Amino acid sequence: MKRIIILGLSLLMTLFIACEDKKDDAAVEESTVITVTTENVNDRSFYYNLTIEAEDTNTWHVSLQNIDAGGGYYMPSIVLNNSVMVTIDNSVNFDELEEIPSNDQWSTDISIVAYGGDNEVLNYDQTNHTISVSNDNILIYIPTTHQVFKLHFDEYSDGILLFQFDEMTQ
Amino acid sequence: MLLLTIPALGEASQIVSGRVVDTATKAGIPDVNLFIPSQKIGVATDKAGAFHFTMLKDEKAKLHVSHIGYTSSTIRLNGSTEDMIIALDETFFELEDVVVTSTRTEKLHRNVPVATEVISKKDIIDSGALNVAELLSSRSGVSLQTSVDGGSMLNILGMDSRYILILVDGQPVTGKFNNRVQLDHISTSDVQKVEIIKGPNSSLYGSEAMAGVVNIITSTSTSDQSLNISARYGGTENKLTNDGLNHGSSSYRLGWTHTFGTLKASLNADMEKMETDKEIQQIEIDDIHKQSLRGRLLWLMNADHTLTVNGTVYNHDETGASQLMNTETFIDRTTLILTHDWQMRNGWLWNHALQNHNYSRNYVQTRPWGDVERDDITQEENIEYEGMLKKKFGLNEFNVGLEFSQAAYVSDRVDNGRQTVSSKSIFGQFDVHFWGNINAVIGTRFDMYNEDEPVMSPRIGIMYTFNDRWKFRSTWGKGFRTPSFMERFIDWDHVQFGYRVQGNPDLKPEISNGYTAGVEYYHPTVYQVSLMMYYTTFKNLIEDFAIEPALLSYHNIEKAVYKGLEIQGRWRASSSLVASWGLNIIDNRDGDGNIIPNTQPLSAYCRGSYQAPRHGWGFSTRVKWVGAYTPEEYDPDSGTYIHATETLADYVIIDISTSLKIWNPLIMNFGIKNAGDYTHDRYGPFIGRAVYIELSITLKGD
Repeated sequence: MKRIIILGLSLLMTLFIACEDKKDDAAVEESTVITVTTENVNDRSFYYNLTIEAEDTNTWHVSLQNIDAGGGYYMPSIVLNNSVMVTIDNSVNFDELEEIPSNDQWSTDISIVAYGGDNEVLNYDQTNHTISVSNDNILIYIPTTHQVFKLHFDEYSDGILLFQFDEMTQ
Repeated sequence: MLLLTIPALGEASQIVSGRVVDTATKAGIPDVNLFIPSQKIGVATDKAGAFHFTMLKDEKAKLHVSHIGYTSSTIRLNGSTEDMIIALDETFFELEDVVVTSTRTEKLHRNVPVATEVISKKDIIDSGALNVAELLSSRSGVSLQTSVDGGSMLNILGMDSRYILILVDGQPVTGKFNNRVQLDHISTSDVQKVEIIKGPNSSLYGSEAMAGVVNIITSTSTSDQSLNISARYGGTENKLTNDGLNHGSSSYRLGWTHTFGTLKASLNADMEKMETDKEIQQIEIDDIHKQSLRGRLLWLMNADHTLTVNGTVYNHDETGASQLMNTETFIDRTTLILTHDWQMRNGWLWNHALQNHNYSRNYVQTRPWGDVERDDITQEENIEYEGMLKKKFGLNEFNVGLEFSQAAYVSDRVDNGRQTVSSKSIFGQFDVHFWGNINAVIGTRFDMYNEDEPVMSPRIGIMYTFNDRWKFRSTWGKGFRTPSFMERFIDWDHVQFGYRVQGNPDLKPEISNGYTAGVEYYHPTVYQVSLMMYYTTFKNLIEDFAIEPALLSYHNIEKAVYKGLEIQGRWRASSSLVASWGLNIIDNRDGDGNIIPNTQPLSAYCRGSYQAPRHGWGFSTRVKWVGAYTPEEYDPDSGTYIHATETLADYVIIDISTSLKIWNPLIMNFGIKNAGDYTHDRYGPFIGRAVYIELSITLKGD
């Protein structure tokens, strides 16, 4: 019995030390968050591929476009490629977001983040004529590569948008 | 001693001596006038409130004692006339004060036929307001909105500042942004009082006095020598950064007056710095620096002529920085006014002034990587000459005046480069008394613009004095406003939202036609209540509209009606405790009967002030309540402003302030503004709970 207890404690200690080591490794791991400053949407639309971390007008996932808002007006808007799936997770801050949502949380309705959507990223204040940026954490799943990215939009100013993103791994 | 006529001395003469003191503080009152009408003998008290003179013996003689700021008193001299102690009650109602705005002549407040509201120096100090915009917004019927472009948009009785003429010492403030005057550039430390007149007043002041006039009267030291230094620090509880009362503003002021023989010079310098304040963060600005210098030189050339030179330099610099954009706004204002008064021997007074006002605003947006996105300059220059001839005929007074002005405007947002408008105006007014208890002012003004049809603006104001306590006032007048340069000539492509705004050079002047009627009950030492109703109709109001989708412009609309009721009161519970209150009911509707957005239909305020006798400290609290109202918001589909879907709930703003005389010339003021911390992110007020502390030292000499 005594041997079993010693063996059990040894295993627990080993596991504990292993976990501690892993935590240390994570702490020293460099941040992979990438910050992107778009082109001015009033000059041209901006298309970005999250996988290759570069602009790409053919195989893009996230874009900034001026879209027709009706009545002859155009509004800057985030538009996602219809090949991706999206979800919102505001349970923790962007930096602390590590857990990939379960399958049933993903939606193909990419319009939620566009102008007029429930979680529109760029919100136009009709009273003050200003555009503010939503504080939502937006998660994008790319089915073709099985990659998950978290995005956060930081600032919008006269046609230019600043956002950061990072790939999430399980 | 101001006036002393000693009669022939002899057995029939007697000494009259003593002190005039404040009933509450028992302190001597300097410069009190004592006058015996039957013997035409007069004297004024010295610095300690003492007086001494000789009169002919007469047991029926009466001594009249008067001072601005105190209740006048008449004493029968049938007893001992030596070592008298005469106690005067301070008048808390400012009705003994002289007002100038409603008639362009000096009149006692209680005797002015056109109802005038006065914000006194004490009210200004108690308010804790740093600038005039903040001061006015603490009144009922007045709201202040911070525009997204910075600055403040004032709204009085539902009218924005386009329709209220703003004057400083009787001269219009030039330099408008978005067609509106911003009053946050005028520091309250310089302001002696503010006079407000509601209703059309173009008969005296011309364009823009459509719905009222606000005259900000700056301080002038009554002493030959004085020096005032004050410093203030304030912090706001910043919800945006959520780090407590760590940020806010600091301001410093220096005021100096010196007399050199017949020359009196004064200089006031103000500096204000705001950083990471909630108000400015709301408009994405990190800090604001304001500096102003105001100088005045008064030369009493001789008994008939006085020459005054007034100059003001104001500089404003605000900066903001983010990861994507750096912004800078530079505002410069300069004013130079040369005034000459000539008191002619035949009783006429000729007062004329030549003035030059310059305003420039430069807005620069630069990307952190160096690209300049916008470099926008607006410049305005006004040159004006005005002259006025006045004469008193007994109680009646006549004045006639003329004005020539030329305004030039250049803006990167305005088409066709430099625009100029010149005008010539004549005006006249007769202030006449009938049957001892009716006083009327009848006047008119004729304005001729180079681009508009001539406009005539008459006004009649009548006051009926029922007795010493009751007064009835009524006015009728017409007002107008010429379309602004922006409304006529703007040509601005709002790239961001894909719409364009173009001016309408064919706009007609807006015309108003207004009536006021009011009653005032006045008890000289206990209470005062006034009630005023007003009804103003507007024709050709200028509104923005969509010509077609994404193309906005301005047009004249047919009609609007503004009406309301205002009740104000003051009550002096004791010599130490004073309360005042006000209630405004506003009903502003367009030609279709719809309520005009942003009208606050119901608002009220009350103020209580306690001044501890002989202990040098005071306490004041103010509460302003604004009833629920519907704000306006822009509808991109129709290109017009429409009622917001959300009605704003009623709210209360509470301010508290105390003052303590630490040592005779040194005073400390401490206050909490918006103690309840009420804010609204979209419609304001944007500034939450704020505290401030101010130290002020004033040295005076003769």
